[in-house]
Parts: sequence; structure tokens; C-alpha cells
Amino acid sequence: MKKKHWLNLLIVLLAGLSSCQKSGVRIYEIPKETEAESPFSVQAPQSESSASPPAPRPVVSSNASEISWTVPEGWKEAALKPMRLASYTSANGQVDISVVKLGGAAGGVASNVNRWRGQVGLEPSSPESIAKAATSFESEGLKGSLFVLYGAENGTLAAIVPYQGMSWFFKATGPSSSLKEEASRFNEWVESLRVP
Amino acid sequence: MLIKIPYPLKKILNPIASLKLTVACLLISILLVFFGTLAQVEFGIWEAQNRYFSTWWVWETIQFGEWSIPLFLPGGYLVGSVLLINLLAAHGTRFKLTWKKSGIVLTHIGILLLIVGGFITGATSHEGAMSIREGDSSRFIESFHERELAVVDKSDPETDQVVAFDTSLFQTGYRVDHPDLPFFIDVHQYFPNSRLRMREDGAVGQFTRVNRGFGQRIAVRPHRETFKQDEQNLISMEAKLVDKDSNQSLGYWLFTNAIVASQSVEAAGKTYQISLRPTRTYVPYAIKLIDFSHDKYPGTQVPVNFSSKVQLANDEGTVDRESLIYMNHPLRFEGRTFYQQSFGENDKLSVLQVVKNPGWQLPYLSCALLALGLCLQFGIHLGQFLKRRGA
Repeated sequence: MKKKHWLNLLIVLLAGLSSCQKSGVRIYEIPKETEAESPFSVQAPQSESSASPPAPRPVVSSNASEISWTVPEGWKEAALKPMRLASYTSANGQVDISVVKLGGAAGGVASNVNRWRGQVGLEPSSPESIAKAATSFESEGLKGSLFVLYGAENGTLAAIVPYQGMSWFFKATGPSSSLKEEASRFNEWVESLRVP
Repeated sequence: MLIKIPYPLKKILNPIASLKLTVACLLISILLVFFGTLAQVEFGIWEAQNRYFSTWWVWETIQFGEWSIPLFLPGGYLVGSVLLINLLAAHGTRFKLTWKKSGIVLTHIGILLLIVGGFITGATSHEGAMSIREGDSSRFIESFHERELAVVDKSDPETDQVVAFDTSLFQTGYRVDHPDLPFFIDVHQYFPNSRLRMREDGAVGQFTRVNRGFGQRIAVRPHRETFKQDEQNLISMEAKLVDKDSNQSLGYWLFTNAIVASQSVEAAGKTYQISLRPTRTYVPYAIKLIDFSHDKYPGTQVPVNFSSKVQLANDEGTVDRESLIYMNHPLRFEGRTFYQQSFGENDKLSVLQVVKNPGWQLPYLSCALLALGLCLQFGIHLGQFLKRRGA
């Protein structure tokens, strides 16, 4: 009987130890950091009832430091949507092509690519595999990364070009079959990117 | 071992020192290794280790074909602790320190060190990544697996005050609070993994109450948690912030690690920036990436070499030096080792793997002691045997 008694005590003691885990909250002080805020967090509606916030406008700089390009044959200009600098559609009207410019790293390559992956029904991927899957390209001194994402139905072709502290997004989305037809035109488009 | 143990204490120690207990612990260890190895198929090595070894109790459900079998076992920490106490108690009672048994004592010291080393590694080792852009410097390491909700008070012109909550604190329906903050965080919904889509793309999803920040434009759906090494969980949390003084709502927010950005909240006259991010560990020095180079074989994409030229400067101003980090040439500083791990953003971003393990020498030391102890013991036995035969 005595033996058991001590064994039990030992187990209770050890079980007690197991509850001594870290509290999960850490408080610390760090030297001032400047963190690039996402362009998404620009808007802050004042009243709780406003359900749809105003869409942030694209930053259109007035100086000449803009990227320009040649529109491939067959693409038609389309109505501008919020945040877009340019909008096109493919000849069959099924592929939507856009140009968006955002400040800083715009949340980072991985989070953007993972968002696009989600939109075409792909699983998110680690930043390392995303970096590996990217194709680098150079056009007139501009360096960018190309991402090709085909889901079961829809796909996205995207190029991210960092330029003068901004991130430029060149994107084509649509049904995978139509998108594959536009792939060569998309590459041609991206290769035409230039700065004055 | 050397001390004479008084009788009443010996009475207590005897059952703890029991050999049956040792055997039971070893049997449980075998089971832990067996089920822990099987669990790696589903959960991967990191999660399996957490569930079976770096834990006090194991409470799992094992899928065996169509059967679900509950599994309840003492975890690795518990078995290790009991073995440790058992072995110490055995030396207090059964074993006598004689020259003839010196090999066994040495072997046991080796085993003790191995167990203690396991605890030290479990409690103090840390692994993460430091990502630095060319020209920028960094002073924090991001965890590979853990995520935190960081609330940063930016009101001080010199420093930022950070309150970081481990995501394990958040569960649907919980209120999370810290005395340093002027608001409560009421968790309305918490998804350990989720998928996010833009509402303007026509997506529908949950988190419809969100009326502040970027979350208003995002539809969230829960998703099955992943444990694969090349995938990461996108945590999403719908939370209501409540002012502590006025008890008024500061709005519903979406906090997620899928979007790398912080959101500003005004409360008690201060601005707080909140973000859900990989858990950060700050170090008292800064590492600046001067240049990252990525050499390829001419005409191919095959890398020959990639390296980071960094400048390390500590806060006291006593260290300021440059180093080159490349394959098999990590930078070691104050107990941490920085390896070149990855790169990105057109070779403008370098990712360093940062490893800290103060107990890394203990397994080597204990194995050496074990080997020495066994050799010594066999040697003594052999000597005795030869002596007897010679006699």
C-alpha cells in the first residue's frame, strides 16, 4: 500500500509540473520600427454602420517615373476598376488583364501569390517554394518575377515588378483554357515593359 | 551516491527507485516512439514531436482502418522525468559506488546527461528565420511554426511597446485581455486555417460582421488544418475590440497572417497597430544586408553559390563587423547561428535560418560517457575473468 501511495504522489507532482507552461503573452519594448502598411489598411470608416468602405484609389504619380508598355495585338481596353492603372480583356473577352501599382512590398510576394493561389483554387504554398517557382525576367533594366498559376478551372498569370520603392502588378486572370491561349501574348506584354 | 541516506528517506526512495518502474518507463518509451513515428505520416515531424515527445501527456485518437482508437499515454516529458528521478533514486538506494561498478556509474551519468540534455533542448532551443532586404537591417527572428497577435503601441517617439499574444490563447468565444492594453479582444470566430477571397471578386464567406480595416473587403472560409512542411496554415480570426473604460465597441476586425500588414486601432487616445504574424524574437543587435549575391553557372539557372554580406552591430556599440554568410559558413553570434537558407524578390531578399541550442554539446558528451562507461565495465569484468582463470 505504501509503495502505491508514493507512486501516486510522484505522478501528481509531475502532473502539476505539466501545468507550468508559459503564459502565452510576451511584453517587450523595441526601438522604433517603421513598417510598411498594406495599401488595404488605408481606409478606416468612422461609423460602425458603414458596411462598404470606399475603395482606395490608385496612387497616380505625376512625375515621369512610370512604367509603360505596348499592348499586345488582340487585347481591348476595358473599363478601369478601383485601384487599377489599366484594364484590358482578351479578344474572346474571357481573360481579364490588369495593372496595379502599390506602395512598398505591398504585403510581400508570398502573401500576394498565396491570395491568387486561393482565388484559382490552389493550396497556399510556403514563401520558399513560391520564390523557387517564380521565373525572373528582365526588361529594359526592370527586373521582375513571373508567376504562372493554373487551377482546375481558372488561372492567373502575374508579374511583380518592384520599381522605385513601389510594387507593380501585371496580372491576367480567366478560365485556364483561355488563359493558356493568352500566355504568349502575356509574356510579350511583360517583355515590353520599360521606363522612360 | 556518496552520501549515506538516512533510513526514513530510504524508505521513501525505495519504491521510486524500483526496477519495475524503470521497465514500465522503457516500455512506454517504446510505445511513444512507435505511435510518434506513425503520427509523422499525418502530422509531419514537428507536430508529431509536439504531440508525443515534447508533452507531458499524450491524448490522441488513432485511426486504424475504419476504427478510431483513443490513445492515452504519458508523454515524453513525463517518461523522461520519471526515468530521471528513478535513476537518481536507484543510486541513492541500490547502487554502491565501488571501483567494480564504476563503469555502470559512468554509464548512468551518461544517461542522466542525455535526459537532462533533452529537457534543456526542449526548453531553450529555438529555430527561426531572419529575412532581410538589401540595404535594410533586421533585429528579429521569425518562428517557423508559431504565430502571434502583436499589439504595438506606437505613441512613444523613441520606442514601441509590444504586447504579443500566442495564437494558442485564441479560441472561438474567448475574451483575451492584458493589463497593458485599453481594450479587450473578444474572439467571435477563430479558424486555425482558412481561405481568403476578395468580396469585390464576388466571393462570399464568413466574417460578415467585420466593419473595420481590410477585413471588410475579404470573405473568409474555414479550411482543413495542414501539417505539411511546404504548406502553411492561414489563421483567420474575427474579433471585436471592446474599450475597457467605456465598454464601447471599437469595431469588428479580421486578423489574419494571410495578409502581411498591420491595422491601426485608436483606443484611449493612443494608436495601436495590430497584426497576426510569425512569432518574433528580438535580439539586442541588428544585422544589415549589404549585398546578396547569387552566382549561376554561365548560361543556366543552376546556382553555383549564394551568399549574404552582412554587417552586425550590437546595441552597446561594442561590436560592429562585417561577415559573409554562405554554404557551410554560418555566422555565429551570442549563442545563435545564422545560416544562408533561402532568398527571394529577385535576389534582393536574403533569408537566414537562425538556430539557437545551448544544449547541443550534451548528447555528444553523454554518448562519450556511455561508451566509456560500458568499455570500462566490460574491461573490469574481463580483467576479473582473466584473473580467475589465471589463478
